[in-house]
Amino acid sequence: MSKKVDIKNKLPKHIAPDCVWTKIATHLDYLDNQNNNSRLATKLPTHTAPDIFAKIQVEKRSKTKFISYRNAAAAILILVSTSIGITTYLVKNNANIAHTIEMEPESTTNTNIFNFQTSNEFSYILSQSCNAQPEVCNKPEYENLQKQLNDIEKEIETLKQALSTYKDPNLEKHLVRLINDKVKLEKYLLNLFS
Amino acid sequence: MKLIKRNNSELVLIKLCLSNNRQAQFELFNKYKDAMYTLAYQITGNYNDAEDALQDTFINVFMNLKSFKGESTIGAWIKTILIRNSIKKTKAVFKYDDISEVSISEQFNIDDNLTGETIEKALLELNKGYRTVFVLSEVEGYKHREIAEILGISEGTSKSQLFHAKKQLKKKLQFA
Repeated sequence: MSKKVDIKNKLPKHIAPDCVWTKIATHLDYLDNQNNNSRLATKLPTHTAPDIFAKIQVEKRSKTKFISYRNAAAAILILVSTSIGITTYLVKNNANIAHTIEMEPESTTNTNIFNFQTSNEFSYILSQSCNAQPEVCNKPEYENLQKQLNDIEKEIETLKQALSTYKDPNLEKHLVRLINDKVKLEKYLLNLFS
Repeated sequence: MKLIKRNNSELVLIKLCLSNNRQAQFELFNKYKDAMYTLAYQITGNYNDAEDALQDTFINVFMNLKSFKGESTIGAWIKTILIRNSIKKTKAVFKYDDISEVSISEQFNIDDNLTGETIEKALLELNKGYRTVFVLSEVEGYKHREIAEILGISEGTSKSQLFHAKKQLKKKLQFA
């Protein structure tokens, strides 16, 4: 141990420069200031942060509502414009259909005109007229008209049966035409007696 | 727990330092500064690093004085901190060599005619790792177990470093 002491005592001693303490003191002062600042921070009042999460949720919900309203409005607009477009297209391109619809009341009217009661009445009137003026009923003109009337009536009957089965608009049109012809023939026949 | 005898004035000084009294801190620094600076210079091998190591050491001491449990003298506690700070500056590498116990226990005698400056010059020319272990063992009187703990190396490495340090120093001093 004495040997070690000897070496230590033999080695030169060095003196620490004064600036070392100055640096240490400066650093310690800096640390003290930092501590004081942190103590000041603990003394200051604390404030509760607003509930940002709830705010975000509300904003999100209102935004979603706005989006749904906007979507609904857009859907309605599309539907309206589409229906307008379709209507315009139909009006422009389906004029014939409208005409066909107009034909229906005419056919109904004529169908109403043509009924057995009226036909029986006409037969009764015609037989009474023949009894009163038998020479007219023997004329070839009368016989010709009477024959045409019978043919039309037969044809009308056939068409009525066909219409009950097929309900074809063309057949209806043809029936209306035949009924009109029949009325004209009856008129001619009655005019022969005047 | 081994209690260390210390005088009342040192206890008062430590208490005052704990209460952040700058004058007391200066007194403690003043008491140990030269011995610590000398040791730092012997380990680092240059004055700038020794200065830095001394500065870092006393900042660490005043910041961590609460953790000083009194198991050693305040001087020994400061010295341990200084050695660690000085080694950080040198970035010394400690290599282990397998050497015999006979070689380690070999006597190392210094010629009385050699001056302290000559011995120090030879010491500073040593490899950093060898020099550190030599200073701690032969100058400061630490045991290999203590050196191993401070430097974070094995006792075997400490012994082998000391063996090589003695060998190199002997050679250098022969031609001095």
